[in-house]
Amino acid sequence: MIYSLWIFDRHCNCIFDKEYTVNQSTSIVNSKEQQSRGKLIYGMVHSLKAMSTKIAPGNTLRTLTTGKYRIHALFTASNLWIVIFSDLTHHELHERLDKIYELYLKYVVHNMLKPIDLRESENAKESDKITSPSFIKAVDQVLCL
Amino acid sequence: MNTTTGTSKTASAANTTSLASSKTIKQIGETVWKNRTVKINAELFTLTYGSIVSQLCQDYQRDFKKVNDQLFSMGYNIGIRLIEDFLARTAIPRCDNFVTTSEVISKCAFKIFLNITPHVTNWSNTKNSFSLIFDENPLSDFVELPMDASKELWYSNILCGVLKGALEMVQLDCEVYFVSDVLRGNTQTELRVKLNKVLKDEMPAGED
Amino acid sequence: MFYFTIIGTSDNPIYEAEFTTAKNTFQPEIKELNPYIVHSTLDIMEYLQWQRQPQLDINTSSGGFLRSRHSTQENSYLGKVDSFYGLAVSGFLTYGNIKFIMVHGNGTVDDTVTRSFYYEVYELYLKTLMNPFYKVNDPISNSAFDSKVRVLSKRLFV
Repeated sequence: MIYSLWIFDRHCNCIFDKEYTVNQSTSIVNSKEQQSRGKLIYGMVHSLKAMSTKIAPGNTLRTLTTGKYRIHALFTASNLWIVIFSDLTHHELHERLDKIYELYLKYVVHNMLKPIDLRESENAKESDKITSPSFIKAVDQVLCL
Repeated sequence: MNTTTGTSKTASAANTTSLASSKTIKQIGETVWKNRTVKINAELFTLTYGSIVSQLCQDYQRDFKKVNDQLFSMGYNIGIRLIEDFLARTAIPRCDNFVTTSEVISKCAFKIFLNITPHVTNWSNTKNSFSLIFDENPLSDFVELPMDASKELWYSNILCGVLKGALEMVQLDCEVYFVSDVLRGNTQTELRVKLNKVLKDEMPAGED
Repeated sequence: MFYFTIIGTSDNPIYEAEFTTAKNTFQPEIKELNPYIVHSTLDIMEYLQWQRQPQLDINTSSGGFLRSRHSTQENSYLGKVDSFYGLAVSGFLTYGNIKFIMVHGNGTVDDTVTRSFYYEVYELYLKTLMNPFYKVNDPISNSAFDSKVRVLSKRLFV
């Protein structure tokens, strides 16, 4: 079971989030209510990432397990973060993270009409999020295999 | 709570371990070029770029300074996207120093996107600026600059923009500019990359 | 001695060159006539261009231009197309309707040599055409083109 997917850009903005529920049809994309939660997640991952690098240089955070859920993260050199929350049955999701990165490339980066570096916008607006239906659909396919 | 870190079996992590030797960088470049790059016809590519430049010259009434700027900003917009593409294909992590960066640019990036490997040379003493020497330049095949342009136009200026944009996305604030170009009658085509500073990763607002 | 021209799509000359050696030069009065000879050849070439099977018996090996989906042979090279008081004129038509015309001062057209000369010049012309700053029908002022053509012309003197 995948709980949710989060994508953060290099300006620490959450540019995509999607909550998966048992019932597919009620899953929530880019919800406003999640904004503060996104910030919390970013903060947590950020601190852990910084700490793990500090302890052993060159080291990167990949997964993080708690009692109830597991977090899988992919960090690119351009500081794009892809974070997946799953239950404990998923031990390793890095192939899917890579796939989502590829989808991000295909539907967002390669779409010249979609702005990708949103430094100017101090507060991430709703419109700055990834809303492409084909992207969402493709992501669903990857995550609900 | 426990965290797993470090090496893993996935492709993206395979390259993480050592970027130290330039041989690996070269290999990455060659493998990606061979297996994961869609090729297009060289003449089509050259003509497409050529028609853009010549159209810009016309649109800006042969104000070549403006044409240079426009090419640069077009390149910048390509660069900030191309870097993601590059990282996804190669899964190269951040470079430890600027020397490694230069190797990655020449042996990997130029190899993958243009199938050329410009020489890295003319390092400054402080190791924060270098030159790329182009023996061949697919952008400028067949090109002869008109007389009035040969003093001012940097025909391949889009490359500077691409590098600038791409490097900025990996937190390297650089100045990128052409020093000489065979099209202008110089003996070689030289592009200078100068590191201004390494930008800090941004922190979430209100975190400090 | 040879007088070579490239004529654009609206019958405008875009390049001309005279290939001479110390011994072989055009006489002054012929030299002045050369452009006119070329000009009169244009009509013949335009006639040949639309022929399916140009029946010029001086030259049986090459065909007209656009003529034939049935013909598989190369048909840009038209061979000897005209003659004028002991001078021979040969022609070549590119697919972009650019005409290459040459006046042969020795009065004969050596097909093998001339054909290869035309094709190599065609190659050079194509490279010029690929230059984004060059427009079709612009005069070719590029000195590199000129010197390469002159190098090629050496083989015309055998």
